[in-house]
Amino acid sequence: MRLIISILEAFESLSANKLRSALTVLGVVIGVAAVISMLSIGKGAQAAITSQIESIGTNLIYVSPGSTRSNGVMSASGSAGTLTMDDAKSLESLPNVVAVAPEANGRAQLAYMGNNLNTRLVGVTHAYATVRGLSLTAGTFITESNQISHASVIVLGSSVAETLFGSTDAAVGKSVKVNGLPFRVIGVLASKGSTGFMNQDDQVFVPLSTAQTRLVGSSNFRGALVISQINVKAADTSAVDEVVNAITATIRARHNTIAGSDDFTVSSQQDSIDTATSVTDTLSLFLGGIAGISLAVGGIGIMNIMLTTVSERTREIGLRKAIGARRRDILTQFLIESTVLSLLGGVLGVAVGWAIASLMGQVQLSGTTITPQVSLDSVLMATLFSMAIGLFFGIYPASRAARLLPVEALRHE
Amino acid sequence: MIEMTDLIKTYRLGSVEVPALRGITLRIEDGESVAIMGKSGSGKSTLMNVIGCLDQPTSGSYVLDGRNIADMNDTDLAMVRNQRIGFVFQQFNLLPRATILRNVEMPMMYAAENRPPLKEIRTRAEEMLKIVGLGDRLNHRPLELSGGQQQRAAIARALINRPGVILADEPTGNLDSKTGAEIMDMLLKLHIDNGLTLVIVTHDPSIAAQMSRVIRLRDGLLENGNG
Repeated sequence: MRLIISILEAFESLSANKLRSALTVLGVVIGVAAVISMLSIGKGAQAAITSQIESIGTNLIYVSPGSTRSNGVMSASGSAGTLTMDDAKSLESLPNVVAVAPEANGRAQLAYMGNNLNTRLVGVTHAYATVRGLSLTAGTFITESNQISHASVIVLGSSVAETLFGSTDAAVGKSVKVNGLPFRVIGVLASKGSTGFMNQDDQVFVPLSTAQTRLVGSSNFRGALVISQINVKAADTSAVDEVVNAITATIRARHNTIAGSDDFTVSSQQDSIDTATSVTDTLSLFLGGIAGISLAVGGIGIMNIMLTTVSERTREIGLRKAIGARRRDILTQFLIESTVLSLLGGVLGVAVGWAIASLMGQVQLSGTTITPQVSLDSVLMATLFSMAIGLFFGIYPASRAARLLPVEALRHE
Repeated sequence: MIEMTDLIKTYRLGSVEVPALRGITLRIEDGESVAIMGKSGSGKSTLMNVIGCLDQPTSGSYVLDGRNIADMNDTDLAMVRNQRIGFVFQQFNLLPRATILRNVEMPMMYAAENRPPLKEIRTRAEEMLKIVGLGDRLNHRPLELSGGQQQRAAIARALINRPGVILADEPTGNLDSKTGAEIMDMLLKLHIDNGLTLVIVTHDPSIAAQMSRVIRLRDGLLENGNG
């Protein structure tokens, strides 16, 4: 029997039981739509997080203090005050290093008139704006002379400015209280949005020297002022690995440590992207796996309906065999029917999944819009997979039909 | 030519063996018309199924046109049914979903070798339906036709692959006597015009009387000795 005729006959027999076929197809539609929308949301989340991290710059390297060991007891990572301004200075001369921005951070209470809030306070040098790619909507950033003079000046994140002053424009020139001390606002940052880990607009910046001496400062056992983190900007993304190695070697030499017992950690932005990607990949796999279960249930629906069809059409199978249908003709016929069902479900499911995914794109999740990405390979995969499901779950009913003895099938009422 | 020698067919019902045919030796020449008669349970349906290659004998030989059916596999049997035998059933057995034109085309669609192009199949099916007087009903579905018309469509289907043998199992059993007589006339005319071998299973002595030979079965054996 020619393929095109078999396909025609499949449609003919499926349309003879329209409701039944539609319900079976619906099962596959739901499964495929779930897979497509879940995978696309996972992809969208991944893209959103990656682009946020990349917006900070892929050539960023962070040096943070490690944990200290005293009498064999390990304290929490990052808790040790092992990094100093001198460490930061020593990195400036390394090749392929464009800028070095040490920071000291903590939390602070800000007040202006009746408004007050608690936010992240970061003590920075002028290099910080370059390294982190910050831009301002009003005023200026911390300058070198602010740092030298321990000036009481502050730059506000956009949401901080809005909370305290009602708008980002009104803040510059005003005086705010930081932990009770008066600071003059010299600039407001442009909004950057959330990275998914923290809200970049909810922080304020003061000169590093001011922070260390008056706000969040602490000193190590030698009396040197410690810093919380050193941000290093490499010349370009390809130089990152080389710079990471150079930084590690430099600080190791200064701290007299050896590999394995370092009291600091060097990580690059790429590490954050890798971590985020592996997290979202796992998430996608998990969501897709759950959606896949409903696809398998859809497949069982196909098998169920095909078994019913075969027993209802036993007489027809007998007749077809009597007029010369071979086993493989009957097998093909029923396999085509189940594949048509599942493929129809697959195609409709892709459309519905697409629609669900773009609907999800309208919804904001904690301030971030995830734009679901329906990729061609997830569409192809879902379609092929649904077809495979039709074949797989169709094989048993079809071979049952093909094995029927013509005499008995013809006698069947 | 149909040749059977000591043909035995036994069915198995659980552990019990039920003999249906107990040693049939029979020869039907090309172009003969034969009625098979007998009470129900006499084995005539089984004989019919074996002649039609729907079933294979347990022992003995059945040679159709020089080929031993007992040696054939499933696919070969399907081909023999497709090419050499035309079935006419009491219940017509037309596919209700398809038009009678498509019903008539079906055996040609299953032709494994030398299948003609679709256009030729269509032309041939239309010709066959004209011959049986349904030229104006091509695109009707079986249930839109009378019983007599359905049986004619079934006859057209049986003849489309130009078989050598027409096997009819009570072809008039579901029809009133007038329509039944018309169908019998048509079968006899096709038998004579095309030199077809016609084998009819029937209860009706008036139908048997129109055949050149009558074979009677009783308890799985030929009543009038081996034919």
